[in-house]
Amino acid sequence: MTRLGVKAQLGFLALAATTSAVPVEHNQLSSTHIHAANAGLVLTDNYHTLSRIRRQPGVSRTLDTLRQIRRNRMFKDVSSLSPNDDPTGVDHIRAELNQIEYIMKVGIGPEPYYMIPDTGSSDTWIVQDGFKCIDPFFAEEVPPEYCQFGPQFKGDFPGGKIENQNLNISYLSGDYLNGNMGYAE
Amino acid sequence: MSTTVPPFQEHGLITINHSITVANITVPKQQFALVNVASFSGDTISSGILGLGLRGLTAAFTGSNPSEDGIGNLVNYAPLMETIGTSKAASPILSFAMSREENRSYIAFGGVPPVSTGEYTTVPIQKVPTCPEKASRTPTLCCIFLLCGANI
Repeated sequence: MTRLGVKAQLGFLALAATTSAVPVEHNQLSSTHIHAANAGLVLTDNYHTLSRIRRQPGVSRTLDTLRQIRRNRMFKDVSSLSPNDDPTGVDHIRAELNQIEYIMKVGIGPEPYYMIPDTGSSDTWIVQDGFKCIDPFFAEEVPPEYCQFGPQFKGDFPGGKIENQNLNISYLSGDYLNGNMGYAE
Repeated sequence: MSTTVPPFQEHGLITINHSITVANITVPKQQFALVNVASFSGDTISSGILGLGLRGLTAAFTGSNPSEDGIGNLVNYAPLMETIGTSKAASPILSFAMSREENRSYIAFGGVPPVSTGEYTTVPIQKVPTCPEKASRTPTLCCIFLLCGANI
C-alpha cells in the first residue's frame, strides 16, 4: 500500500488558556462581553466540554526510523534504543510518553462518540464495526483491540456513501487509515 | 491499564438526528469517513477524529484502491468548519478554552465560550504553499476562519 505525502499532524491549538475556564452566567461576564465585542466576537452557548485525558504509556511511532522499519518490514527491538544509538529519536519517544489529549463527544447520527478534535487535519472519521487493524511494523492484520479504539460505529452512512472515493490518511504519529467516504444527513 | 474519562457535568450535545452534531450545532450533510483499515494507536476511549482543519488538507481520493491514491486523484471536499459556515449553522469560528484541570476545558463553535478572559485578539489565517505538492493543490477558501486568542 502506498503511503501518501498527506501528513496531518495531531495537534491542538490552545487559544484561550485561562486558569479558571469555568463557564459562568452571561450577566457575570460583562468585561468578557466587551473584550469579545472589541475583537468582533460574540459569546456563544454552542460550546462543549473537552475532557483532558492522559494516554496510556507507550512508545511513539513518530520516528522516521520506525516508519522506515514498517515500510521495509524489518524488525528492530525499539526498547533497546539508547540515547547513544539515536539521540533524536529517543527524545521523541520521551516526549510522547504519557501524553495528554483532549477529547469531546460528537454526535455521529443519533449516538454520541468520543472524538479527538484536531485542528491540524481536516478529515472527520470514525472507526467502523468490523474494521481491519494492521500491525504497524509487520503490516499484518492483528486483533482489533490492538488499535485501541473506543466504540465502533455500526451501520452505514446516514446520508449515503460516496461511490468511487476513499479516505487515505497518514498522521505524523505513524498511524494511517483507509476508509469509505459518505455523508451524514 | 485502561484510560478513563473523568466524570463531568456535560454541556451541550443533543443527538436526535442522523447528522453530525458538535456542541449544540447540527451540521447538515457533512462528508466524513468510515474507517475500515487502521494502523492506529488509540486511547481506548475515542472512536475517531474530528477534523477541524480547512479544505486544503483533506485526504480523500477518487477511486477505491488506496494503492492508486496520489496527488492526481486527490479530492478536496468541504470539511466540518467550512460546512458550518456555508450552511449557516453557525459562523465559521472555532475557539478553545484550555485548562490543565480535567473537565474545565471547552470548545466552542460560532463564537467564544462564556469563560472569564482578558482581551481577545483575532488574526486571519493566511494560506501559503509549503511544498510543491501542497502548491499544486486546488486553491481553497482560507479567510473565512478566524482564530481567537485571549490575553490574560
